[in-house]
Amino acid sequence: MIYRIACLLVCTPLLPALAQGPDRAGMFRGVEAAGNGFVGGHAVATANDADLGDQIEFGGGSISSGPPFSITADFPFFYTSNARLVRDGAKSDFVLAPEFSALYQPHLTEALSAEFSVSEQLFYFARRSGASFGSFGAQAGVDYELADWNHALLRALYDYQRQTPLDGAAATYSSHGVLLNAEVPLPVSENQRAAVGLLGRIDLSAFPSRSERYQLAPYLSYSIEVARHLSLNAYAELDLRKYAHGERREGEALAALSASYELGRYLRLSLVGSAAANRSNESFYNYNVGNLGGAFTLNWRF
Amino acid sequence: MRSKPVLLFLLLGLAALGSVWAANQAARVTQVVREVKIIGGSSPHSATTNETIAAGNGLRTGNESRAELTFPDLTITRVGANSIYSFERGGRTANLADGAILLRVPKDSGGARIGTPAVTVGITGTTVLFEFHPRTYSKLIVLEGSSRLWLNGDPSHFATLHAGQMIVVKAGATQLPPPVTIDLARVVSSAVLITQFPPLPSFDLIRAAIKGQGSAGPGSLASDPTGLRARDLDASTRPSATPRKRLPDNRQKR
Repeated sequence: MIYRIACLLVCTPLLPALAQGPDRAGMFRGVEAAGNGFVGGHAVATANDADLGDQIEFGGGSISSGPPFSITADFPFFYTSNARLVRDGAKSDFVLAPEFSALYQPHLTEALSAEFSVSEQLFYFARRSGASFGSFGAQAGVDYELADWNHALLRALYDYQRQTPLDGAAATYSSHGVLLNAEVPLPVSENQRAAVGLLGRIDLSAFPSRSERYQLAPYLSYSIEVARHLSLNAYAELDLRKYAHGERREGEALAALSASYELGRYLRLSLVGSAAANRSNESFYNYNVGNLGGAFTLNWRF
Repeated sequence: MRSKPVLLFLLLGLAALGSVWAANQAARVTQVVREVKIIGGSSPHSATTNETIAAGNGLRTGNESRAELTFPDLTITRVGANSIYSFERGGRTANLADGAILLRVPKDSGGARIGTPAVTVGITGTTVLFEFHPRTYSKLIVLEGSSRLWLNGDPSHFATLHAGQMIVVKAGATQLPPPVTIDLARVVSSAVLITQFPPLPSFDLIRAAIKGQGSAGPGSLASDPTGLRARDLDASTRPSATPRKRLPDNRQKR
């Protein structure tokens, strides 16, 4: 038996026709692979590339390798302990907050992608229907992934926000701003993801002008896949704000927990909970709030 | 005289144990694509689905031809095109003379080893893709779990690879290059040894590895399930009850 195996090994170099089948052999013909066997982000071509699949260096990462278009319909419904986010006389309510968003993220280079998104979220309050409002957002910019920095993600976006009462009145808020984001994924394990990031937003203009502000928000996110299709997610953020006019400064601590179950490719069901505490040097703006509910999300990438 | 039946009984028992052991070492052919021959036995012949292959034998595949072997402990080996492969120890010692294989070894099964004339791969409960050509390159991709690769001439120096990593070793290399992280989703969606076969028992682990490889995404923008940011913006526009130094500006800036 050993003889047979030895024969197989020794005779191998004499066997013909080993470089057949679909491969990328011509793609980098004449190009010398680097010391790690990669050239142009691709592993050097070999005879069995079809069996092994596309071997592309994780530089463009999942951001660029996925489909560029994404349409999402999110239907959160939850109880909130403080519907209007006020310091005194907080009233609880039930909220339905459907959100519709579209994202286009074309891949420009291995590491660089553009990002265009629009979203509209409607907040319907069951008891205080007069407070219901819509929140529109539009963003455009670029994402850059740093492969040598643990695939850290840098983002720079123009950000437009507008809020309008659902009773048809004029906009109560709008702003043009620049959003900057740096996020570093932290290696945990195969079924866990964590990331630490810093989000900054600078208002270029805002209406009403007293709302014009600058934000800096360090955050931490974590998720674990506890079973097939079932994941638990946690998120914490400290949002520090300075308003452009006057002396107003604030800090808001925000934490969110969710458990998500993927029902097929497009549908996800979630239990969601969040809490926040806002503290301002103008105590009128202080508030505490807790929210608990669920959501179902439809997402289509293409 | 009395010892003869005892001896016979012992021999029969040993024979039964031997046949059980041999059955545990054998593989069943669970998929055949085009031209696949069983080699190493007395008479090389074309492989057929559900055929059993004894330890020490192997497969030889032709162009665009592939095969899958399943072992009693659910160790799975898929053999790629133009490959020469043989196995021992219930598939947990794989010998690849040329070509490519996918090897899935269950966790807690004692591990496995892929041997070639140039490099050796050590595996403990993992799924890997491995390609070897004596005159060009060896490639190892870890789909889930981890494994080690070393040059046969210097086993003390090895590379440890984790899920999503790949190493490419040139024929005749005296040193190992560093592993490279590759886009695992692209591999899984394009590798014929995965896409043209039934889902692997370890597919959930591979899927988790793909998820883990992805960026956590724009978390601050995506982790607001109850719309707190928008609600806070709404609240922040309310004029303070306390007198302010500056009056609210009702004109929208442009």
